[in-house]
Amino acid sequence: MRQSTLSSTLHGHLKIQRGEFCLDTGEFEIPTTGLTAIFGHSGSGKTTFLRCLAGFEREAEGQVIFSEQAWLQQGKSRPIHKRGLGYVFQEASLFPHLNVEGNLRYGLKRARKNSTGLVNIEFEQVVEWLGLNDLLNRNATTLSGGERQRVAIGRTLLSQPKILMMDEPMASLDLFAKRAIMPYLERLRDELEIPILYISHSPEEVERLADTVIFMHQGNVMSIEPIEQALNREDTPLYQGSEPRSVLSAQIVEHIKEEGLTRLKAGEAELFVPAIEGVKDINIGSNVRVVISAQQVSLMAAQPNQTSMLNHLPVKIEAIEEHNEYSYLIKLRVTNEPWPLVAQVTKRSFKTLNLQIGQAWVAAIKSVSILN
Amino acid sequence: MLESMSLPAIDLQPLWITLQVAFYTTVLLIVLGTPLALWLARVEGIKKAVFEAMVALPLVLPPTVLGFYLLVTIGPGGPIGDLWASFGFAPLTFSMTGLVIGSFLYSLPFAIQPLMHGFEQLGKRPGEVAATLGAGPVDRFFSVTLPLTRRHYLVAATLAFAHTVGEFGVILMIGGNIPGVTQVASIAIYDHVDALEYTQAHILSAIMLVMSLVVLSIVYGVNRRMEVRFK
Repeated sequence: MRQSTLSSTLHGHLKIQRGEFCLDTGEFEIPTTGLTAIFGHSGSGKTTFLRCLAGFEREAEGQVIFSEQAWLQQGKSRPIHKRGLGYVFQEASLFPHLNVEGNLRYGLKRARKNSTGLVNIEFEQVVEWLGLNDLLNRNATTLSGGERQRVAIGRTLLSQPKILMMDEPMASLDLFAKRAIMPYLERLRDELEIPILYISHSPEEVERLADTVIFMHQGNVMSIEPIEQALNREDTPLYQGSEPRSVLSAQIVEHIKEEGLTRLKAGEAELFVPAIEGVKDINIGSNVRVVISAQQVSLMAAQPNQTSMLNHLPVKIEAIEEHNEYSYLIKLRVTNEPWPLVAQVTKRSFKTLNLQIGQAWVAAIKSVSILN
Repeated sequence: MLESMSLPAIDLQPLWITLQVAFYTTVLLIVLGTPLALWLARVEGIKKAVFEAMVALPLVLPPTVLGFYLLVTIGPGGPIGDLWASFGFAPLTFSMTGLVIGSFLYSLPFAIQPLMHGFEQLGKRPGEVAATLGAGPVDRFFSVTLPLTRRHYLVAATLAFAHTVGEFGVILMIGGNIPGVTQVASIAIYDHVDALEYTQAHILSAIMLVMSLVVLSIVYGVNRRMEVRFK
């Protein structure tokens, strides 16, 4: 049983000493489906970890097994060009002596020549996916930052990797370029059948893109967990220092055009959000991630007959904790639903309402936002 | 001034020998210097310092010192010289092969240093990228490293060639001065001056001067056009 799960993972343990810094991962097991984000502050060892996995660091010790293939074992390291991995660096690192098409075809040519010679990702497909058609004859050195990174991603995909590693591919881009490239990344995640390992120090990127999160701290792998769990964990490292919030998955049920609203379903509960129709790939039935800030949730004694607020749900108080000098955080469970909700109330209201664990209330949600 | 004199018969053989030695030396330096420079660009610490110093030695040593050590190692009775002779080869000293070996060592820093700086400047990244795109070590060198350091190759080849052409001391020590075999232009000019044959010295010197100027101008012109940056 254990063996069968391991056969389709990237697993092992790694250690490397770099002056003062020491990476020591302990045993790790990374799923080889979907997008796995490596999250941590700068200096936590994200890049070193990924570089060791890829095989760039010759001094790394330990073991790395990818889908039953030994990459690093007993001091023997499989050459990088025989690992079948794709790596996108922070800086696009295009070859300046080749034009865009030459860069794109560099890996494709070599993939065609190798023993299996299997090409699943075609040139035309990648050009279309990443919108590269107008760039093909351009000199690689004359592209903008965002264009360069798109070419780099395309070049990597065309090398037919069995796993895609990305080291903060958007870190060197400005906000505008970031926004432009994000949809391409989401598309890769959804349409490619290869696992993606993605370094990020941005919680927004992680919550939008990741299926699994690896938390790193001071050179150690703290945990590897599904995104839903990571997002709703009280002590989640994703939101250290930011405002408390709840995150849940919901399905799009209907776009109500004339009212400018979209109706969502989270479990059996209904939520209305400002219309998100027209956004690419947001169709009826697709899943979205919903964020509800604790400040946007207030508590009412009973289901209101008349209110301007669209979203109100029956809840039960599960826990109460002090948030700061003036307010409490009330952990709520939506009746008949698995998902949690957190409300922030002032100490004054807390006293007036005499809130206690176990009580039933109605949570009114002033605003809801959608992640993707 | 030249026109007023009747031109004496001049032996151009030394020029031809000079060019041959310089050509073979340059080819050898580029081919064998590449792996050495690649290695030097990658190692760190005390190893790098010691080997860099060894490569740079010909810059500071008097050519006669280098020539003397060569003479006692590759000459008859020297360890390499005897080994060479035991295979039945003609002696290395006073031969074209000997000249090339001497020039190789003498011009080593002029080829190695530009190449090493080129590889250091290029960094590891292009090679890493190429490896993840499925290129093996040899493939990586010819498809990425070489095209991106071609300016450094041009500089290395030019300096190695020019420096070999200008060589005097080492060749005199190990090659002697055999006309038609090991007499290179620089030595021939010295001989002409020594024999007070100023006209011949003038002609040979002028040819060397013009040739060097033309070669360097071409190289500097090409060099500017070949500039590539890695981003």
